[in-house]
Amino acid sequence: MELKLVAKTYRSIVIELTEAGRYYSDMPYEIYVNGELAFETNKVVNSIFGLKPNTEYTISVKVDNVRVNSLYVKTDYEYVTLNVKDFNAYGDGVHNDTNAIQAAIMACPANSRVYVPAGVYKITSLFLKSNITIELAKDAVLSAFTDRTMFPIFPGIIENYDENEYYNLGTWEGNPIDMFSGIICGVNVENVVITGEGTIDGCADFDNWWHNPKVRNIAWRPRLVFLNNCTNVMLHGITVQNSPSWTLHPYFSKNLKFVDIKILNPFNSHNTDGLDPESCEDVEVIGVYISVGDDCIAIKSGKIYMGKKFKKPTIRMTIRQCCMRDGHGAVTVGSEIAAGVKEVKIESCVFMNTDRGLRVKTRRGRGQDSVLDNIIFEDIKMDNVMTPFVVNSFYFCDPDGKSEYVASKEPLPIDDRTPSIKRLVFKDIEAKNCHVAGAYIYGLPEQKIEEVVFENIIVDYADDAKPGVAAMMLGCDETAKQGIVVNNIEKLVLKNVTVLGCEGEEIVAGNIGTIERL
Amino acid sequence: MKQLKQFELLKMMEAKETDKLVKELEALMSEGVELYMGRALYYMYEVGEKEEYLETISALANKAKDYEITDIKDMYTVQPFYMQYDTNKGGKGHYAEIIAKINGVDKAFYNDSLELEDLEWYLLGLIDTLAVTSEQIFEYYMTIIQLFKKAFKQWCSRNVEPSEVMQYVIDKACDMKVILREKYQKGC
Repeated sequence: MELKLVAKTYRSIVIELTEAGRYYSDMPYEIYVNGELAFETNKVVNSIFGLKPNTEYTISVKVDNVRVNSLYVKTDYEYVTLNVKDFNAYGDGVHNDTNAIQAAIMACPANSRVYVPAGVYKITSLFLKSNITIELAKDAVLSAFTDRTMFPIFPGIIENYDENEYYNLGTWEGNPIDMFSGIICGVNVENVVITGEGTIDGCADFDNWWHNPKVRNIAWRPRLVFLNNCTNVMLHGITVQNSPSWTLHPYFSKNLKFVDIKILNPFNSHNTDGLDPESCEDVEVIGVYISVGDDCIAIKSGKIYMGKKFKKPTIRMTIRQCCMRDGHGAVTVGSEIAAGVKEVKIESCVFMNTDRGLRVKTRRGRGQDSVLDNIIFEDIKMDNVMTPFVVNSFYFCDPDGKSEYVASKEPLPIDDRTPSIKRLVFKDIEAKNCHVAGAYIYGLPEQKIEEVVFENIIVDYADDAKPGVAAMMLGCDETAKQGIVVNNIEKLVLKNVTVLGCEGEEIVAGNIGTIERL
Repeated sequence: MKQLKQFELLKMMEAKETDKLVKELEALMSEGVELYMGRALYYMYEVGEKEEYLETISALANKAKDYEITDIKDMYTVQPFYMQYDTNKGGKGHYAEIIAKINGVDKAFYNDSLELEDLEWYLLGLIDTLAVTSEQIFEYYMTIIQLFKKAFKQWCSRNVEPSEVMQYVIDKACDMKVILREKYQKGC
């Protein structure tokens, strides 16, 4: 075990105790700051708040009364703090504090902090500025209004005067169309930190944003946090909840960190994905807790218009020490992946009560630039996940989702609409109390998945396994306790794979090029 | 000319003159139901709550689906209605075919020497189709926009005052942000 620094701000430090568990530590332990006990914890990743800027600290940890290595950390230099109450924010849960907080943000000089003390601040949209930190104190809540007529609209595309170019601002489900601006919005900003123990609450409910969610009402629903073309942004420590739609949506952005945050939406809320990086690069998700009404993390790169135009995959993403629960998929790739997704590693995470654990969804029509490659899942613990591993190349989304073109299991000609999946690795994974199937992996017959590796995998089933449909595709019937179902794969590696208690064959394989069983 | 009659019906729809529209439609239908009546019938079904029109509308939609366009003006006669039907009743399941058909019409019949009147009906057909196309199938939505802009540029090069039909096209295209209002609201 080793203590490592994950991140730091002006007033906080984030540490990780390595080899101590997955999101939750294997045993509780104590954290000390300058020799004084700060708190006891049962998490692998922890934040220490309430520090002073530009100050050195010694952080140490005792596990079973045994000290692990110490860390010597200096918090960042802070020029000045702007308290939003000094800008006439009321924080009384009644006044519209948008202008006051926005004034503080715009007035904040570089390397400085906008501080939101305890209180409930009603807001519509707040817009970020480069080179600042926003800190939400404990019991500070940025609480959004839900009257959509109060929100600005982000047009999807704006044409230039010469009519030879479009500027893309708004987006909805992979298309450049009008949306309400995010409750927290960053456009073309860099070097921003949103930190603290406070909360951003979208206040969405079934009588406002979640009512008729599939219908455009003036514009499409806002995200809780929307980052368009931003660089070097970190969200740390805060709780984000009750989002109108996708909760955290970084879009064409890079160098992003999501550290020790909680993302909470009711399990029956609509399209409230936790984190949806879309056409982003260099994304780290560390120590994040997600319980939502749709996919916990959904990695995307747009639908076909955006994919063809910009060819911007989501690339180089690390997800570790996270807890995903209650949603549809714990980590999903797709379905809007027209520009591809590459080099993603998900490691040392726990998934609980989700429909699917690791989920890839694609379909014919996503386009030849839709290439998924080097997606690695390692050291994962799942419990009560309906089907732990699902790769669905016939996902019946979009209006033509149930057409013959999408659904046909016969090989069709490969053309510029055909997506491809190259390499998927599943390693050191335990999935207990599954229900429907151990795995359901279905590539396209005309363009098989190139390589799937299952290594050190254990799957067992709940005693009261509930039947269900493993993948959202035509022809996938309701079942329970099915084994590992694999179809249309060029090379399948099964190394130390144990399936306990399935009904029928342990491995059900169709149209596999080569199978290596070790 | 059926396109002119269709445009009259459209103006009644835009002015929400539902009583007048119903009378006009009933009179026209007494002599036979034709494709150009489709949009107005659908309007009366939806807004005028004329449930009894649905069967006629569905039959017309079937006709529109298989209709072979041999005249570029028929872009206006056929496509806006069929697109509206497929968007609202057909689950958008035939968008690929509709766009293929529109592309086919453009390829077969559009050229830079079109008669002015034909060009205007074609433009009206495109913008009216776009108005009932779901933006959520954005690649198709943009396909129609690009065809429109190409033909509109051609119209601009003719340096003529906009006719009533063309002014309607320009106003609608500006409202939909297909063309820039500051440049084109008062013509080219």
